[in-house]
Amino acid sequence: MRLAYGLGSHHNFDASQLNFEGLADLPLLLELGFDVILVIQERDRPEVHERIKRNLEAMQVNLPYRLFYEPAVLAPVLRECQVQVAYLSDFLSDQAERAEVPMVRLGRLRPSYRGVCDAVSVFLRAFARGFEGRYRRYLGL
Amino acid sequence: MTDLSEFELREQDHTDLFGIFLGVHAVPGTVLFLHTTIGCKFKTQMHLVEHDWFRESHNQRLWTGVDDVRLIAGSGQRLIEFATSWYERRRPSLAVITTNAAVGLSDLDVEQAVEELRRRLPCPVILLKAPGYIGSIQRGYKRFLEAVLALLDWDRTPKPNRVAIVGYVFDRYERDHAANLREIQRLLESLGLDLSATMFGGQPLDRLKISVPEASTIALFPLAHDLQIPGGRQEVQVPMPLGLRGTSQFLYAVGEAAGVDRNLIESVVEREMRRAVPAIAKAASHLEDLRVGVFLDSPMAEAVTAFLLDLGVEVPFVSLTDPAGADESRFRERVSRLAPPGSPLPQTVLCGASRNQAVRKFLEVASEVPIPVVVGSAFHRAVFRRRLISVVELGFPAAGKHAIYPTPFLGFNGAVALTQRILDAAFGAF
Repeated sequence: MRLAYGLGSHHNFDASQLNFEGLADLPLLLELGFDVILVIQERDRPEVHERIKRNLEAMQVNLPYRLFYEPAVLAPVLRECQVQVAYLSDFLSDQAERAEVPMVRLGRLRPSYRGVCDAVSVFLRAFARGFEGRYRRYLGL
Repeated sequence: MTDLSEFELREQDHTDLFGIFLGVHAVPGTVLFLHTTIGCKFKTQMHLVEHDWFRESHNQRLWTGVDDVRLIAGSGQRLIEFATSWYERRRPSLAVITTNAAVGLSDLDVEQAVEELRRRLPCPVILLKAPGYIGSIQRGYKRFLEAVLALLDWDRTPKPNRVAIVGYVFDRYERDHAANLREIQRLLESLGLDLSATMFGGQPLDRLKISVPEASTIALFPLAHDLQIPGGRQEVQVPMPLGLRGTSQFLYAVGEAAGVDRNLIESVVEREMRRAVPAIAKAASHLEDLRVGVFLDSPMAEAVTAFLLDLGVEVPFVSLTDPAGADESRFRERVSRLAPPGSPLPQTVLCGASRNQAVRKFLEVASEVPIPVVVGSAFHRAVFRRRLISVVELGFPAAGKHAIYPTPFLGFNGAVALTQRILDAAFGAF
């Protein structure tokens, strides 16, 4: 199952999100069996690609990535990437909705063995599409 | 080490005796003769007094006062004298006699005494033995329900489009139940049906005798799913109409059993969804990461858990508080049926655990990731208040939550009102 992992949208001082260039939850997602594609909020410029490639290589992460230059244009990227679920900053939920992709809020996953059980529950609930996803036809969405 | 857990207080320590009394309270004009020794009858009755501010229950409960001498010599004569004299004072339309364990062990003459009372008193007399150590509120209520069903006038001709509900737990006369019944009536009327009676719903026996048998369709709530209903009416097992999905399934089940056109049922559900969903959605988007614990009896726990999952709330812990009816696999199967497909079911489900066990396990689960809201009873509010956990009182007793304003928890209106309560609890704003 393909998962879009969002990077570069959320700027904060939360150690768990800054750690590993924002990819601290990647091992958990890979362990859960997701086929991960990175969606990074950046300008599409040669020097950006160089930096990203350098960083990924340094972290021994060999994953494909796509760029989107601002939040409002993520939905088409998610559609093109044919992802089934997304792990994104909360304010990108409208983009996930537009792409009809269930979403888990970035930073929601928890560490340690307990975090694995929790993650299964979190993704199952996301696949159930949340209240708005289930009842969108009554909400004019 | 000896396991003493069976001696710990249960989540719900009431047994059949209190369940029978709860049923008696729900049928005005009925009196309960406690043909029992001295015990905790009045203390337990206080739960009902604190739970129901709208109708006092003292005068429906009379204690024959069996002492040691009568235990040895036979207490039947005492019962006859007591019930006969108190009949004159109360003039009940139904007399219910219960015996407790001590009387039960020496009741050689009690059944004859009840037979004698049946001859003497102008009202029906029911004997329901209730040793204090067995059963539950639900089982006692159900036994009383079954006994009353047998008293109804089943020779009456059923009328088309009339529905009776059997198995509704009417534990107080406050406006939550009044609003529930009004809501069910409103929804059935939308289907062209008439709610002729609810067992129980605060109607006296004389009314029930006529109105229940006049129903052509009997909708059995979960508590009554396995009851044998006399009279050969069209019966249908329905889920608790709680939450959007539970209420929809309820309407389809009742409507189809009563022969309502499926297109009409669909249009009613659609209309109600269009009204309720936008209101609930406003809250649901703010409740997504909420974790809620549930301490309720099985039928309520199934319905509430499924609704919480529909809201997108996580339910990591459930304690089924009815020791007699709790069954984890049945709970999971029923929640799966009511909740959105693929919803993650609770990881921890306790069945009839003691209060200590349930609270300890809950705190253990909550120590991993906090559970800031519980749906339970006044007991849980007392326990969790000091831990700053908000308790939505929905179970019995709800000594702190009273309904002076119509606040249903069933039907589509109930789904909105219950969401409001969960939202208030989540944000600690009342």
